[in-house]
Amino acid sequence: MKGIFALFKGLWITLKHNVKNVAHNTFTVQYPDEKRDLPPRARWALRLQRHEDGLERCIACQLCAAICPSEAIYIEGGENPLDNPVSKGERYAAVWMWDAARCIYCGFCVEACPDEVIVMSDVYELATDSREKLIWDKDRLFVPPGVQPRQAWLGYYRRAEDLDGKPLEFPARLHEKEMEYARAKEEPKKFEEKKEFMFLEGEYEELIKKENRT
Amino acid sequence: MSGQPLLIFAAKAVGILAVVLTAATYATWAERRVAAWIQDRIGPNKTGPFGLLQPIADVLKLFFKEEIVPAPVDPVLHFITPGIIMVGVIAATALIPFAENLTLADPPVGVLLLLGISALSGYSVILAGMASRTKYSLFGSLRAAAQVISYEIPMALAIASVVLMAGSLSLVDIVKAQSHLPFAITQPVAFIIYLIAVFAETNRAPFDLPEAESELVGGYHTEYSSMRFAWFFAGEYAHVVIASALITTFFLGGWYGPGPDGVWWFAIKTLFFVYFFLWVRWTYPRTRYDQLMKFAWKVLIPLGLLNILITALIKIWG
Amino acid sequence: MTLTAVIFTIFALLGLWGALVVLFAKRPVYNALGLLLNFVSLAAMYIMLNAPFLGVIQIIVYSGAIVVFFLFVIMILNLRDPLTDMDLSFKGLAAFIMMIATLSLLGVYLYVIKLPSWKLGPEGSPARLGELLLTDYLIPFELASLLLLVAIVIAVVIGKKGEEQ
Repeated sequence: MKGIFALFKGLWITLKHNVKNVAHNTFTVQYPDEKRDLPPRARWALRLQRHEDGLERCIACQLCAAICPSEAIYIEGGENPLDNPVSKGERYAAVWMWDAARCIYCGFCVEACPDEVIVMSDVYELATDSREKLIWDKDRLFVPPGVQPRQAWLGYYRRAEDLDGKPLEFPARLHEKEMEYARAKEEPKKFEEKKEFMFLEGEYEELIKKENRT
Repeated sequence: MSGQPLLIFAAKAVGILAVVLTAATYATWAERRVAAWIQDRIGPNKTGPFGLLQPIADVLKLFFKEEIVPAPVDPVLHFITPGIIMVGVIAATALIPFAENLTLADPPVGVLLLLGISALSGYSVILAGMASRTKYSLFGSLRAAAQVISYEIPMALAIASVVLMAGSLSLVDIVKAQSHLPFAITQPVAFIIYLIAVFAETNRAPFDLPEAESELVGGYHTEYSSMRFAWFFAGEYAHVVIASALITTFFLGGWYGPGPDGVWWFAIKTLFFVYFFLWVRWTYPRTRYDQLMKFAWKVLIPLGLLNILITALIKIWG
Repeated sequence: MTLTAVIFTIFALLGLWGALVVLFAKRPVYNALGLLLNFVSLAAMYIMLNAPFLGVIQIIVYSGAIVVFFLFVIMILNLRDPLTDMDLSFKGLAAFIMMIATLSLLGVYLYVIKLPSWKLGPEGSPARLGELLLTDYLIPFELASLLLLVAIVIAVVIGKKGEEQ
């Protein structure tokens, strides 16, 4: 008798889910149409920054290429022509190549860079149909003049003042959809606990303060 | 043919067949959407509005796929088996009374003919497994053979009590006997037995042992590809549609309903049972083989016999 | 020759072909399928001879169950082994069953040939058939049931014997 009741209970549960999802699906992100915001620490494709006047920041010091554990960066330096400068230093990068297939996205190059050139952006759609296309050259790596690429927050080993005083904008939460669902069910705690890799509201600011003090 | 002009009869036949086959095709779409909904997903929704063109895209894809016939198969049996399943389904379509004036054939032994057709359609599964010469297919068809034989009996017993109630073996008469009260209410035990047995007959979860993906790869249709596979797939869903139509006919009073009677009542009830098939599939886990057999022989058949006995006694003295 | 006669002839030839397949095909699956073809065409002939009930029962019982059982057995047997490897230790029991079956069939036969000729109406309705089976033909009907019961009991006995060893 209990078993028969359980049969109907099972049917009732699936029916509830069915009806709920016909009306409104809270979980699925329809990827090419909708995109999730990445967490602040997500490190994806390298991008190279420019100065505000449009000159390239890179001075071809080769530090990033030297530290790169997987040798994904290749740089050829060149004398900076004085009449038509490309960068603000004596040298500039004549060739800057980054191999997306070799890169392990560790972020060491960002650490090593003395001139705030390299950032790890949120460009994560790297799939192509040939290996050659995975090697990015200067044209793809340098952002257009006047564009500020989104920077991955490498919080633990990067100081707030290194960001040129610009406030780092927090992207929306990865689990916003889950949170929405949890709030609707009034059990947000379950989902809060899951996000150990994320920072909660205010935690980031506190960490910055702590780091400034030390 | 009951004296109709041949042309009208042919038009009716083609029309009904088209409707049933379209329903079977869209049952695949419904299966995927319902499964997704039950599992908190969305399902195919990109091809056309609500993904409604998805089955057509699937058929086109399967049509242009390369067909692989493994070397050790029995070529003749491998070739003809996908057809058998469709023959059974199409033959059953002819007997279903959709509405008062929309029945292709109403032979005096319609119920028995239907049972015979459903018995024959089991051959496609059995022969497909034997022709493939693979262990997975063989196990699938072994299970199918035992399952079809075992569940045919409770199904026939359930129908027998309906026949006792209606006093006729004609499907139209059975529906007409339910004009006031459907047999689902007057014969609840037979209704439940039939419902369970029909799940085993159509090889649907929780009784889908002949094609249990997790243990038998694809069961009897492991070695079929391209359009051949599509025939099996379409056959399964057409079988689901036909089975739902038969439940409607036997137990829910066919075209009768509250308000104006007509083919729409039949359609609504049938669609509900098609949904019920999907709903049950995505709710219950697969039963074990010995449980399946025990359930047929030790529960359903005695229950069915008892039900017939009580029905007959009530018929005599009631 | 009318259309009905043509169709009847086609079914007759199909049934004959099926019977020949049963006899001469080398692979057991084809033997079983030949039997199926024979049964189905026989059913079609019954239906054309105004006995639809008999025809449909022929399909349900013989094609739907018996041949499926044959196929089932063929699947279970490992067909690469020659059939002579079969264990024949229950030979005596088998002979006994055969004797009982033959005697019972003989009794039924003797009874039936003394009966008046087949009285089924031209429409071959199930109701009339049931009535006849439970009145005029009651004793052969019950004898046949008894025969089946004996077969079932013997099958169970043989199955049990194998289990004990």
